Parts: sequence; C-alpha cells; structure tokens
Amino acid sequence: MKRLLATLVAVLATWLGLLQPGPAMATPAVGATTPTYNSPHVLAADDSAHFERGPPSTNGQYITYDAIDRRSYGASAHLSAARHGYTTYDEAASCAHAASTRATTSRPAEAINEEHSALHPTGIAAKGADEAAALVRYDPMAASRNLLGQIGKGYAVTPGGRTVSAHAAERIALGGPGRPPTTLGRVDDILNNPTGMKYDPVRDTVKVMQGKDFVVVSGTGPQHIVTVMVR
Amino acid sequence: MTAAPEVTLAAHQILDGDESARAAAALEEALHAHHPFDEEFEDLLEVLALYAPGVGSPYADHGQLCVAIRESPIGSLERDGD
Repeated sequence: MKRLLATLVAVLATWLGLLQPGPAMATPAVGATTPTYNSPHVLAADDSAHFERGPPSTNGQYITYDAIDRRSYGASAHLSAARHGYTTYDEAASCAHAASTRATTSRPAEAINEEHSALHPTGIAAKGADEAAALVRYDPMAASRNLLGQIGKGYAVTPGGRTVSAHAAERIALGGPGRPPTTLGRVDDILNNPTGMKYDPVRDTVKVMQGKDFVVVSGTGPQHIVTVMVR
Repeated sequence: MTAAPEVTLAAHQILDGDESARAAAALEEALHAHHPFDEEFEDLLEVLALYAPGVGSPYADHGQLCVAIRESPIGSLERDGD
C-alpha cells in the first residue's frame, strides 16, 4: 500500500512537473539565444542552439558582423563606400572636384586623398597647364594683329605700311596709363610730319616727335614701330 | 622743380624693387596727371613708353628705368634729401 501510495505521489509529482514548465516554455532555451544575435561571440559559442528557433547560426553571424561594421565603425563603412566611388578620379576634372571637397569637408575626405596620393591630382593639373602653355605660346606678331583687328601673317601694319610691334599695338589700341587710345592713322601722321628726331645708338632706335607726341621706330631696316606716346 | 607726391610715391615703388609693368604704368599715369608736357620728365616718359621687362632690346628693363628715374627731377629730389 505504501509502495502504491509512493508510486501515486511520484506520478502526481511527475505530472505536476510536466505541467509547470508549460508557461515558461516561451522563454527559456530560445530566450537564452535570442538576445545574443547582436553578439558574434555568443553566437559562435552557441552551436548547440541552432536547432532551436531563430535564424541559422551562419546567417546570424553574417548579419551580426555586417551590423557591427556599419553601426559601431560607421566611419569605416563610409570610407569603404567612398573608396568605391573614388575609382572615377582618373579624370583631371574629378581630381579637381576631390581637391575642392578636401578643402571644405572633414576627415574621411582627407583620408581618401592621402591614401590615393599616388594619383597626384595637382600634378595632373600642372601637367595640363604646361601642355596648354606649350600649345598657346606667345606670338608677338599674332598679338599685334589681334590687338589691332587685322588678319593675315606677320605684324599688324599701319596704312603707311609700317609694321607695329605688340607693345606698340597695345599702347595704340588700349591707350596708355592716363592716355586714351589712338589710331594707326595718327601714328603715320607723326612719322610723316615730324617736328624733331633723336637717334639712340644704344637701343638703335629713332624717336620721331611731333610736338609732345612721339613714336619710336627701329633705327635700321624697314620701319618697325617699337612704341608710341600719343597724348 | 618739385615732383608731385603721387609721382614720387610711384617712383619710389619702382626704386624699391617693384619690376611690374603695373608699377611703371602707375608712374606714367601720375606723370601725365601732374606734370603733363613737362620737358624735364620727357626722357623718363620715353623710357616708360619703352618699359617691357624681360623682352630685351630695344625695350627698357627695370635697371634702365631706375636710372631714368634717378636722372629725372625725382632723383634730384632724392639727392637733395640725402
């Protein structure tokens, strides 16, 4: 009888024991692993929990690492994104853009420029400027013609057939400091109707004066106008 | 003869080492404004009209312009000051 009673008590205790875990079933085993999805260490150690609810451990690991990299090391994530974008900086224009960004933005932009210093954006610009300068060399004859609105070859010429240097053309077409522009006809008039002349042996030039105005021409060869002073 | 202060100031800038065409233009403009048709500045005006540093002969360079300034009434003013 005692044994039967003990058996009944044991069965009852077992039955009660099976009923009691019921309300807690939602939390324990699964609950122990659920909050650990943000932690790669816990997930790595929690291989036994993979058969339980929740994402597979491998999936969870990838998601967790991604989340940490983007949120905990945000700057690194941005830098990575910027690196991908930086592949377009091969063009000089893009390099110039990068330089302007560097001047106005903060650390990530500086880091990009330092890492990619081998591109030498300023070097590219300087090379471009040198090439441009080589292509557009100063031509005094072309400058003379352009200033006086003439086409053709050689220096611009006056109606009287005298050639005009670029220096003189500038002073004729644009005027001088404190003087208005003058005309090629006026220059010819001074040379054709002088009131005085003075030869400079050092410069090999002749100063041809008409009143206070003067034109300086080359001393030898065809008449070439070196400069003018018309007031 | 006394040069105008504007002329003296512009000339001193060149004598102090300013080789720019802009400095020469400032002196030329001051001469036209304050000493128009003044015979004593004619030689200086000729050098100013020929001033093109770095171009070479027959144009005038900075050294030749400084000589012309010192030989003008501006230079005599400086010598009197010394």
